Amino acid sequence: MPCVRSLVRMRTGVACKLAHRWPVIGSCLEKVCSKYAVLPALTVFEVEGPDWHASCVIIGQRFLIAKIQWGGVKVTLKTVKDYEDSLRQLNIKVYMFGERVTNFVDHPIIRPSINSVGKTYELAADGEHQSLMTAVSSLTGETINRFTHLHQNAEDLVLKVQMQRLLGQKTASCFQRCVGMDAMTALDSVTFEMDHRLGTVYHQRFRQYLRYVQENDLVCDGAMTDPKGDRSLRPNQQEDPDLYLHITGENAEGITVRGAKAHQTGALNSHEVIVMPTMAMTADDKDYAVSFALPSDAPGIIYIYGRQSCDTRKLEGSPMDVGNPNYGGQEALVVFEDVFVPWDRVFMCREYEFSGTLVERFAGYHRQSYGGCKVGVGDVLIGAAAMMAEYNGSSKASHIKDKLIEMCHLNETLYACGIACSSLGHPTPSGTYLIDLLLANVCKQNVTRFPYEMTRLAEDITGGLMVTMPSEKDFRHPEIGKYIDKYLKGVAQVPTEHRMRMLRLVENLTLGCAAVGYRTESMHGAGSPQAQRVMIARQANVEHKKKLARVIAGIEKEA
Amino acid sequence: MGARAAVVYCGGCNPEIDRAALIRSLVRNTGLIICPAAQATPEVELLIAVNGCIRRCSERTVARQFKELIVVAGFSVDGWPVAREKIEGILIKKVNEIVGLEKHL
Repeated sequence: MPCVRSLVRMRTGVACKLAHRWPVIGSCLEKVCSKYAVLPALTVFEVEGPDWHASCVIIGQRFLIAKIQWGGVKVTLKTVKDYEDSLRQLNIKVYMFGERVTNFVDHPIIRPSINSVGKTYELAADGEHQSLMTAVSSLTGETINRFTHLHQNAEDLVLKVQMQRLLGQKTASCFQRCVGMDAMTALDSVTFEMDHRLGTVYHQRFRQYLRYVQENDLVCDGAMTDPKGDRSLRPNQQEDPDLYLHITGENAEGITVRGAKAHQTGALNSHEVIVMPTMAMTADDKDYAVSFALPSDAPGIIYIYGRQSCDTRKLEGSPMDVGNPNYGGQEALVVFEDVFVPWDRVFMCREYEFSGTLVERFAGYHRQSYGGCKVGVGDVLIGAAAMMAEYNGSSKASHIKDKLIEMCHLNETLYACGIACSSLGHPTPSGTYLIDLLLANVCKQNVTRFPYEMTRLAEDITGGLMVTMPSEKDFRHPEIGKYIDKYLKGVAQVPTEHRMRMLRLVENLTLGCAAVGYRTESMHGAGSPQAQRVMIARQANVEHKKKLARVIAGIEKEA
Repeated sequence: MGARAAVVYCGGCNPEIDRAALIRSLVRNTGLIICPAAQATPEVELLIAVNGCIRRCSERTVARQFKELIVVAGFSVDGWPVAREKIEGILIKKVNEIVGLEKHL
């Protein structure tokens, strides 16, 4: 039987934050601790004051404040530890390097990506960041993690982008939770409109599901991209019908699906996987017009872990060589081998007329997201380049200053697009706000270009040593380490190790593990560049521009 | 006295539809009496917000709350996509449901 006092001490971080924000709750918890010397390992108890109420639970050696109601507002947030523990409960079938991974949570290649998602929980519990990281649920009235929130106004859309920038800054990598958020917000409005036009019952079903996600503070994978096979053929024309995920069976209990989703960001760090069609479908493709949600360890789902550049450095026991040893992104090929989905988790079943709208909305939200997350990572890259200039002794050179200014200009331009498409957001019939699609696509189009230029400038400023530098083990070697320390030194005041760490960070961001998210994902994530150009062409209102020109040129009178 | 409504236009920086022509046609075809939102008397309960595009900027300039609101925003009415040629018909139907029109197409 653990002692409550010591258990509370184990949770000092949370207690301090509570005490900071809600002093009365903090002091009352102390009183509870002093009142009871010991409690059984599984104990649920309530603590309350005049206008607040906290539900607390002791599970094993952990003390958890499960729910707090304060002035009528409830809080439902998991801690990082809760999140990690919840992943351990999942029976996920993962393969990497040709072997089944039984404990993926502690796998050195996977762990940094879990830490990145964990940051979304950590910052939500931190009073300094709660205004960005949390929101009041439109469904339950409880305070929830913003990643599970439906945007209720343009301000929510702006806060989303700011939250993503913050997380990019804190992790210098993809933190993986945006894709599920964007899937949920897209599904909310599309299911509403689908029900209105077709008389289906998906919206209520989806809202019920979302409530479950909010109340349990879950991470969801948003799975859209099919392998696609021969790009010149429609889904129903493929030689192998499984190259697009599709419905293979249906009965009174639900549907069965088969296929795969590629490049799935954060897939095995998620509690749930939300599947959507990959493109606008036609009547002939109606079996491919399917959307649903499943627990990520549902029978028949197999995860095959994606490689990243330099990934095995995480196995070498040289954290400095990894560049960013604590955080990272994650992608996987997710196979659905005749997976059963109960009806209460199906949100689209052959309504092909709405598949294009769902893709367009999800892509729009996700293109907005990149105006936040990539900018945050860009902030770290700019900082690393500026530090390298200082370590190299080149920070006063005018061309170096100018290159850093150019990096800032590019980064803030991306941010401006993310904020702009959010500020001009508008309500959909379901009440959930949608970004300005034109500006969101402009945002993402810039994202397909600017990070590449920023990495070029960072490599220019940093110097070639970032790709020729010896390993950490050589640096630590009793005989040759002194040579590395001597000859790789920059300015005299800075230890060689600091310079080496910064070189590795630039390497990580520009061509190592994080380049997956910062470069190629910037190109192809949320749709390849041509997909945005199609949307820009559709949204740009060129007829209005032509009319403006005719009036100015004196060809036509102002109406 | 005929049915009344207040009207507010967006600034018109990106019009996909002819906003003024839409309201002129509405008045001509229904006899609806309209006034600018800023000058509407308290008994006017309906606001028609006419926006050139989906960005729906017009309501940001309206100070007072109206009991009823119809939003035209580009090719949409109250958020629902509408073909260009059907916008006026749907608008008239909605206005009639709220205030009752003498002439109803």
